[in-house]
Amino acid sequence: MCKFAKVTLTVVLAAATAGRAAAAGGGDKPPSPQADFQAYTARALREHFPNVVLINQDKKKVHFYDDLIKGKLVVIQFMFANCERFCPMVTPNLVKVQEELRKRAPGEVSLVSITVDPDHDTPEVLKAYAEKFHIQEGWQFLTGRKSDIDRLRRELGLYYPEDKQFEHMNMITIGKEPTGQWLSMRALNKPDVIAYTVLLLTHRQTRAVVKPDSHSHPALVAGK
Amino acid sequence: MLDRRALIKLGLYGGSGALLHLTRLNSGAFAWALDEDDRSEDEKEHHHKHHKHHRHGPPPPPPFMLGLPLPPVKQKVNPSTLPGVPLFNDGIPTSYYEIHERQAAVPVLPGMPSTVVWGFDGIWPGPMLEANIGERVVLRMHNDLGGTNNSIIHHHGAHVASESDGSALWSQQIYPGTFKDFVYPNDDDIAATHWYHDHDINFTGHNVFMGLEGFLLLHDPAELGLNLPGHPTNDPPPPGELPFDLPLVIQDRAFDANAQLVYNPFSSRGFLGDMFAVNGAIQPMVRVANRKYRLRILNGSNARVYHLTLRTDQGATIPFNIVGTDGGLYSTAVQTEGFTISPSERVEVVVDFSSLTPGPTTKVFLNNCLMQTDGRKPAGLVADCTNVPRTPGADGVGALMSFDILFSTPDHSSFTPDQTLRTDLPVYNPAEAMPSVPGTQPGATRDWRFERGKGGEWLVNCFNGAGAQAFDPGPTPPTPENPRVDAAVKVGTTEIWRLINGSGGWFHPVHIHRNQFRILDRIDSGSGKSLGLLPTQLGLKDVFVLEQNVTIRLITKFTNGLHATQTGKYVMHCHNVEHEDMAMMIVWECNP
Repeated sequence: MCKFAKVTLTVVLAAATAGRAAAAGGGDKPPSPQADFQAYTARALREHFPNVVLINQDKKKVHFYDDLIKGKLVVIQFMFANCERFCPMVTPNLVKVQEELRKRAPGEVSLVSITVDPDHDTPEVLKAYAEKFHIQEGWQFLTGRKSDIDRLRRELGLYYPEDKQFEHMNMITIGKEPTGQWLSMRALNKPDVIAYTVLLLTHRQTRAVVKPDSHSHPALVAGK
Repeated sequence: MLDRRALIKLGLYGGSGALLHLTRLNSGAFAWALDEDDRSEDEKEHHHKHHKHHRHGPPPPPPFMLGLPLPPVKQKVNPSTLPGVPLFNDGIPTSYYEIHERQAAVPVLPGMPSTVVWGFDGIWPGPMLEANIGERVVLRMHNDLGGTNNSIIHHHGAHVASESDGSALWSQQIYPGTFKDFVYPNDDDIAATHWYHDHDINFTGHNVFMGLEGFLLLHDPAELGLNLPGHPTNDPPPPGELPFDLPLVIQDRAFDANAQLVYNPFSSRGFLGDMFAVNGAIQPMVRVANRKYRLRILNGSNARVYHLTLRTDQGATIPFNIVGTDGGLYSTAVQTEGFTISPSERVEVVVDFSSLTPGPTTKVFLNNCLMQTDGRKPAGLVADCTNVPRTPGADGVGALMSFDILFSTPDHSSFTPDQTLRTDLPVYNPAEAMPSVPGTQPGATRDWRFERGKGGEWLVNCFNGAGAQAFDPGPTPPTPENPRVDAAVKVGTTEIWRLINGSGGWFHPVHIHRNQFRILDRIDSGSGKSLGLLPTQLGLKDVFVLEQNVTIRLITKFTNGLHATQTGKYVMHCHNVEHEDMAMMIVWECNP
């Protein structure tokens, strides 16, 4: 079924981007590129995200696009519980990132860790993994079909066939679906560098420097 | 419910944009942009069956139909119109400019809806800035893009103080609805074809792809005294004709079915387009005379490399006289049938059409002979560069534009292939070179390895591992933390740097900010054997092509300008802008 043609109105949108996100993620009618190119770009990118089914550490089924991406500011990471090379460093690093973001943008950012070893990483294993690292609310660990997960990795530009199965664990993807702004960076960057990169997408810094009367763009005004 | 296979059976799949939008299995507007090797077998089979011979977007317009646009020369403004702008009373001539980064819908594909671009003053490419050496330029740049994107502006090629350089540092971002003033002293460069472009952290690829680039030409008496073709006063064009000195920015672009630019932010290898624009027009024609022209060619593409040749419609070669590159003119010209130009490189040539008889069928094509279907690297030259398609396919091979030889006019310029062009190019003595690092000996080099880590990240000088760090664009307000500095140099010292690509799988055009360099050698990274310089590497350079398994040795002296000092933090990075956005970049510092 063409899951992406259906209208979904369940996503709660942040006030700062409500109008924009509704145009990008909601209706059937594509936004006019001339009227709102950012919304148009976000809508075009929507076609890019496979809406595959994943299962989180609480055994809840979620759709990648509908439930994890749409309307959200998100940090995506691929990992596996038995990973010995990077993940033992990456996960604590992202814990620090989450702490920083919970302080500076509470409730605005979600973290998504997807296993590349779904045969081993059942929801139970992932739950134990999350508990081991004292993972806070707003961070899901997911498993699913191997082929779906590989496709996600390819679509996010983080999987090359010449890589061994478990390589590429050292990158994270950060994006804001409603504005179509996506980037990849090193997961072992300093946590404040990662957090600041994410915060820039909340436009907090922007709002801090823009004088109230100097610009009337809705994305800025709405967030004041 | 129709699934993909059913649609294929019905012959509907792939043939209709509307159905493509409904199906979604890796068939969105970006599917073609996925690198071939990234596809699963199933996806490969599907792709070959349905996309090999046609595009997702609209067909390109008929070639050589659109006229070549020339970017307008930006006009100065009175500083009194720029509240708060830096003012100077040091007697140095200073010119003020104001540019607004704007989103605009412009006609690109005939018969299609207008295309949204992000342009300086809303045009793609942006207006051309021109200045004389010794003339200070103050540029007020507004981010009026209207969205949530930040921007940073880099003057590519110039000696500029760190705070105006536009390195990818967070302190240099122009937030939406705000502006920043940039000061370009232009007192430690020679006449050259520079350019200015967006350099935002993590988003340069998208911003530049959308159109945020423009030429910035510097002139000086030595260059003007040569009276090259298109000299502004001695060799003006007849009324209604274009000048004989043409800036040409070559860019591959991709469009969706609505004629909108389509960019894949997940294209970590480097994004390639399948339509080819010169100065913002797809495969344009330009009306020219049978005489000499000066062409300033800039590869403004994100990741595509070109090998350019000029062929007449009869297949005859018109040679290029390469007269200069990134940092200015050569000592003498080098004649070649073709040259390779990587992202952000500039090559200045003089071409002579005087052997051709003007007429409606007399045409010279600017051909690209280098195949590339993967952002990682080009796939090699085509066997026969004479017979390339009139319209390039997705591999990029074909005619990028045509010069239509349609009239005759007197040539008041002077150029001979063996003449002396400049006598003042700096020559640096390798024996004097020494990095400012305690304990090193004269002749020691700084080494920089460009590679991809096992964790999938782009690295400079960092093997993968616990201690390795990625590029840090700090400080991160409000955290008072400085970016990691990977090298500190001192004004007045001469240094040799080695840029090393030890991989056979990747291609990195490396750009160093602040300075111009001379290339000492181009070396096989494995055997250490000298490969000789390319004909585009004989002058002052700021872009260094690390082909597969190639090491470049370069030398410079870190000087200040005649009046201005240029100290602070600068970057060096891969100018495959997707690699750059993934932080294939280091910070170096120039200290007094």
